Amino acid sequence: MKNKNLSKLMKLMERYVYLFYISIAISVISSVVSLGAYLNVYYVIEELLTATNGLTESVIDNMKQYGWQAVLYVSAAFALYGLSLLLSHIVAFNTVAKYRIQLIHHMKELPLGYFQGQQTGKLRKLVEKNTEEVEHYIAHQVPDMAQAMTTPVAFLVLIFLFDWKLSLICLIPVFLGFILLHFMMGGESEKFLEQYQEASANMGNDVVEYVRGISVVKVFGQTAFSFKAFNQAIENYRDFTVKYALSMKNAMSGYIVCVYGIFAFLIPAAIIFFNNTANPMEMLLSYVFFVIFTPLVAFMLMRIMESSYKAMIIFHAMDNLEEAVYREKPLPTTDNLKKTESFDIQFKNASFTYEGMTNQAISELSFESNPKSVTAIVGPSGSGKSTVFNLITRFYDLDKGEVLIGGVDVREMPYDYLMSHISYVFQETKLFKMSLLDNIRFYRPDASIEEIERAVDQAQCREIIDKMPNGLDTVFGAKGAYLSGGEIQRITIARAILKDAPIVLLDEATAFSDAENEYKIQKALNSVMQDKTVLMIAHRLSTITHADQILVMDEGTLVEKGKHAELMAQNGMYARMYHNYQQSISWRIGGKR
Amino acid sequence: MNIQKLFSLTKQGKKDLYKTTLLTTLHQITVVLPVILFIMLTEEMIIHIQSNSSSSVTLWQYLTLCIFLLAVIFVIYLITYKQMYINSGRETAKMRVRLAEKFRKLPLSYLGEKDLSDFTSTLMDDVSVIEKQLTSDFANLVSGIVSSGFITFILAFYNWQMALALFLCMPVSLLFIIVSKFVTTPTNRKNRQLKLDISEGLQEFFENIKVIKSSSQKEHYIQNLTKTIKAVVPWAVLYEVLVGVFISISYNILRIGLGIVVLLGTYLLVQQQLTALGFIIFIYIAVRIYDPLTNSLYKIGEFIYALVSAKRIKNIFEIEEQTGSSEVDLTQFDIEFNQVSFGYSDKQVIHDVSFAARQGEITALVGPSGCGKSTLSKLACRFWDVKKGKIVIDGHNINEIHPEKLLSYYSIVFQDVTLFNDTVFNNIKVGNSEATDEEIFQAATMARCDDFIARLPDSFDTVIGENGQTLSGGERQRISIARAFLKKAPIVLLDEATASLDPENETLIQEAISELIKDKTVIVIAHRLKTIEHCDQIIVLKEGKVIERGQHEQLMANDHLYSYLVALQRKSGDWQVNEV
Repeated sequence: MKNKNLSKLMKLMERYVYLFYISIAISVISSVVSLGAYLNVYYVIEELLTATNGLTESVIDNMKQYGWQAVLYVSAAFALYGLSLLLSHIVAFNTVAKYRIQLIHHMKELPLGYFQGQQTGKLRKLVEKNTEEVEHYIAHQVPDMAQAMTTPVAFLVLIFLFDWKLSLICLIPVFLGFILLHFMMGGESEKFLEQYQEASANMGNDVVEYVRGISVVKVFGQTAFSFKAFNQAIENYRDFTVKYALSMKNAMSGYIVCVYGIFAFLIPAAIIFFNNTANPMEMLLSYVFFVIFTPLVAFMLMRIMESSYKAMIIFHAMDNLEEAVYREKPLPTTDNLKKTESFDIQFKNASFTYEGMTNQAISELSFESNPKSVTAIVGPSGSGKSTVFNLITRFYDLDKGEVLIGGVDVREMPYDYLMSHISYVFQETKLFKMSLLDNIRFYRPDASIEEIERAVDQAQCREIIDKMPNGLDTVFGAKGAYLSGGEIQRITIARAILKDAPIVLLDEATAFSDAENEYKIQKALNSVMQDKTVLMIAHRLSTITHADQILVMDEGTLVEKGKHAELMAQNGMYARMYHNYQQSISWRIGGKR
Repeated sequence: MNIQKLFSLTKQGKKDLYKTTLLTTLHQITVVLPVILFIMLTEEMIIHIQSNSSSSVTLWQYLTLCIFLLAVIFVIYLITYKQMYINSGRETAKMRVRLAEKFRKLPLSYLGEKDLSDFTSTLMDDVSVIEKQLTSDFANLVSGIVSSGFITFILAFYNWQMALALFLCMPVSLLFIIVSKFVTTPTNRKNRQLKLDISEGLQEFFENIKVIKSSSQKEHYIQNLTKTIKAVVPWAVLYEVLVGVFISISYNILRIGLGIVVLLGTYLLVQQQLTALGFIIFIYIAVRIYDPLTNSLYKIGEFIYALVSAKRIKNIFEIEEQTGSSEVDLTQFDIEFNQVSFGYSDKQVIHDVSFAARQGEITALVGPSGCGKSTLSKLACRFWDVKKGKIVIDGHNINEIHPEKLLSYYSIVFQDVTLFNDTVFNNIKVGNSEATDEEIFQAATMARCDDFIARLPDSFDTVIGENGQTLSGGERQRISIARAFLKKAPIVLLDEATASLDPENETLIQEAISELIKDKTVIVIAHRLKTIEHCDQIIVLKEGKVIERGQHEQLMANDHLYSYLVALQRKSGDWQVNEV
């Protein structure tokens, strides 16, 4: 058993660890008590067989008493087991809550680049589902395992009290069983488990692709095309799982034989000893004792198998979780953190390469952007425009060079301080499931109602608020409180206006939305950008002709820099792009007329 | 209860499940068989002791039987094991394939984003739940009850009172299980709700991480999330207490049978209606019979849980497929909307719309968002079926044409392009699998794909990654247009096909589209009103009604919604940052 996972969990339990021990202890006691039940059943028969004077009243009374005692012991064992599980669940629920909290506390400090490369749904599943597995482990597997392990030990003690020779013989299949179990859960099997999970993940990807593509292939009448690949994935998965299962078939069947085959050792041994004993009655009683006890052993052996199999899967899930979350480290900070008075942005020979990529996303980039000015960044997709933003906000830290704000390297600023001085107006933003009021004042919970109202007006949100059932207090996402994409965008702009950060990073929408929204969003943006250090990624070249500075990027380098008129005069890449753009916006469908 | 319907199994699957269940039952019985040997030996020993005989018990007989039984247990389990995994694997693979088959026959309207993720999780997770049932859970549930019932039935021939005693508490125990379901439901519901809150909280946290991290509210937000995560704990514990209490009681009641057996046994012994050996037989059985039964009770819970998944699968299989004739051959491609009204569930979104999109002409649908323009264009290709009014092509109501046949006349270019993790060549070939290589290259040229394909490492044979993630928006769009070229359909729907901006190659996309729509029946939806100025017919919609129609000049002269929208857009088109 891998103990690093368990010890990590026990650390998480904190004071609940005592409850955890108690739970295990009670579970152990429960298994001992259940042995008592079987012992009483045995006494019933012993009483019957040793009644030399026939079934006298006292014999009958004893039998009845033992019978009820057996029931009592069983009940007590179950009750104790229930209690143990209850405690283990309390521990499990609390530990998992603690675990999740620890995870999100770690994750909130991770560089944002970590989140960019991942689907949010996958991350959520990881934190939610994999910890749930851990819950099962603490709640069920540990007490079960403790019980299953103690039964054979307690059994051993009892056994030796009766007949040591028979006991040893009965233990042979148990040991054989353990050896087989070890073989089944051993290294080979863990490798198989990994492969299995990979096959499962592959099938998952193919399923996603198939389902996503289905409308396309349907429109083109090509359903057979994508279906073939899908079918292949399903079949591969099936073949793999079956192969995996079948590779275990002999070991599993052997294990079953060990579990249920104690009789084949007990019976011949009992006969041999019986034939050679001076006291046949004692031998008979020993034999009866073992006959009554074997089912308990079988039950425990089955439980050990199930538990260790589940534990293997759960530890695997936990490993995956830990690997996914803890492989990434929080952003490094320095000791003497600095703040700044001015908010100009400066890139000095900045170079950066994304992990796993060979090409530099930006190389040797240098430029300056002044307060109260607008700098537009243009260039083809993949030219490094958004990387510039990612480096300012420290979604990633650069490899070489510096990014300075007011002369201070962004890596030397307190991160919270840095972020509170930047408004990032994203293309795609979601709102929180809170009131619109709380959404708007998210960055500034202390904002006065006047300030909020002003931001609402400046962001052209008045009409949105008015049509909501409870105005600003309407909870987003509640019944009747759905907003269109353009409306959400305006709310987030109101949020940015209220934040009033000296630096504004703006990623212009790549898609046109309908006329009214478009118009209002633009009006709203004017308010955000007022008197700030603005950096914008521009897609519509017509919007930036008045920008103070235009940076033209291509393949990570700055190829041109200047004002619109200067760049047009240069007749280079920008002029070409602008010309293309002009042509595209004057395009008319059905241009023949 | 029809298990085949319940789990949406094939006939073979049902047969296999029965077989697995039967074999598992057999296995359960075989592991109890050694009791016969135990009893035989017990009897022989008792006789020996009572008769004080000096002869010995013969070993070889028992030894042979033991080995024989071991072999039986081994073989039966081996067969059961193989049966379990091979058949459940086979059936669940079939189920996934059948579901996939079903998906492709669904009306296009079911293939929206939310439904897609539901489908995916059904195909993966729900089927896995069923797989577990098919492998062993269901068989264990049934076999535990059947095998112990069977054994008791046999024993009843020997002594029916004692056999009855074994099972006397079973009904009460079952009752507790059932009652527990009712008692725990409210707590469970609350519990689930709180779990859902956690799920949503985490999702929101990850989705908004940028905003959260750039706010002073970060710690406050995390604190709230922490509260949400902790909130479930007391309820989960309460639920566990309730379930635990009931389950414990139910298991205990079951085992009171042991006491009753002893009690009744001693009574019958005294009455001489039962021999000592008979008594021992029942004790031997009583210590063995309750574990499989307890296991069965436990599996009832899993079974009920699996029913939820089974229901979701069944619901998908039960979605009605669209019907229609495949024999229709259309030769003329005017699309006529005749007094079409349409709504989703309860909300009507299209009201009595009539117009005709003529062959060789371009018809544009415009209006504010939510006006129904997208819905109208989708109705034309049977995303949904019109219930009131009709859409007619070449004299046929489209509801009478099989959707696949109907779609074969359409090329649809959407704003969102879906690509496959395959080569560029194969991605274009999706347009028409019958096309020759020559035709595919030609389509790529016509869609202005040549230059970027030439730049790819393996040109046409380059694999473009999951959903074509290595390509830019404009490149993706051009591949989708190449597909449309390859298809050569007489009707073209353009739904925001040029809404995505890619200044570099937008003109290329536009050129390609102009070529694509030549001489076709074209319905176009565009946000940028400039692009549709030259259309033959512009239909202006508002709240699901046609409020204006005509050509650009006419509509401008009308001075109504259209001219208002155009004016507004002209203003936004002139928008410039930093304007003085």
